[in-house]
Amino acid sequence: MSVRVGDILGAINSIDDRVRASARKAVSRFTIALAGQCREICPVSPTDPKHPYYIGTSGALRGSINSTPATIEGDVVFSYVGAGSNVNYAIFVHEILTNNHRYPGAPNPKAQAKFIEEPMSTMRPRFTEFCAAAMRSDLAGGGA
Amino acid sequence: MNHAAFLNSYANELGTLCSLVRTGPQKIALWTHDFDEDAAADVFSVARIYPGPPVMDTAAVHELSVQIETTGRPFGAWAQAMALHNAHLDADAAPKRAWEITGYIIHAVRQLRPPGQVAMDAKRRVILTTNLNLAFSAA
Repeated sequence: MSVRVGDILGAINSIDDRVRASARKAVSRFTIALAGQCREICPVSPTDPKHPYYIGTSGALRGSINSTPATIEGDVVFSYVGAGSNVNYAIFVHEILTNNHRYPGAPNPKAQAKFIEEPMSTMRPRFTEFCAAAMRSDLAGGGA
Repeated sequence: MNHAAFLNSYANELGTLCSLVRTGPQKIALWTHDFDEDAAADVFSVARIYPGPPVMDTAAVHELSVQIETTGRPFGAWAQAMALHNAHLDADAAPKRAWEITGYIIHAVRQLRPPGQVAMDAKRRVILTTNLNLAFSAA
């Protein structure tokens, strides 16, 4: 029997491409879910202009939370979750622990500081398991 | 585990390392949980536990997320915030391990982030925060 080395390398490259694409997809799915968790607890200012906490941009911070599609640099898959790219008070809301986000009439009664960090810490232990399961399913043809 | 007692012991240790007043009658430069503006030094820091979910929280070893917030005019505030940050580093500038403080052992300083400015208040004082996790147990 004989086989062309080029055929083997081609097959390996094909597998490598599939694994990388699957890894990107899995990580992207994870960070989309993470961004959703962040939005769940993101403070939101009132919509009523007469409310003392009204700042005129209700929901802008929550709307700024997003994740980037995963990319691969070397052997590492990157996807970023962030907030505030267009909201200059984001870090103040995120970092100051004593701000009152659950004031009477708050649009988001679950709001809190550390609205990015805490979901990230909570979900981090499940990251590898989630990605492994998603990739297994994907590569087995489940396409999940 | 009494987390407030731990935070107090940890702040006392930082106060000693950074020469920051912890109790009156002098103006207090390092507080825990909350502060009194009238009794606070021109530059003051507040150490707080915040609800980061513990990465490791067995019966023996607890892990807490801690934020140190420093307020003051820029030069002094940055100097104090950096001194507090550096107090968590060993001689090799790595986060401390097996750090003995009164009543507790801090097994590891994790996720230590350098200070960053998050705001400027109405008195034109900067507000800087440093975040870290502490894995500790009773001595």
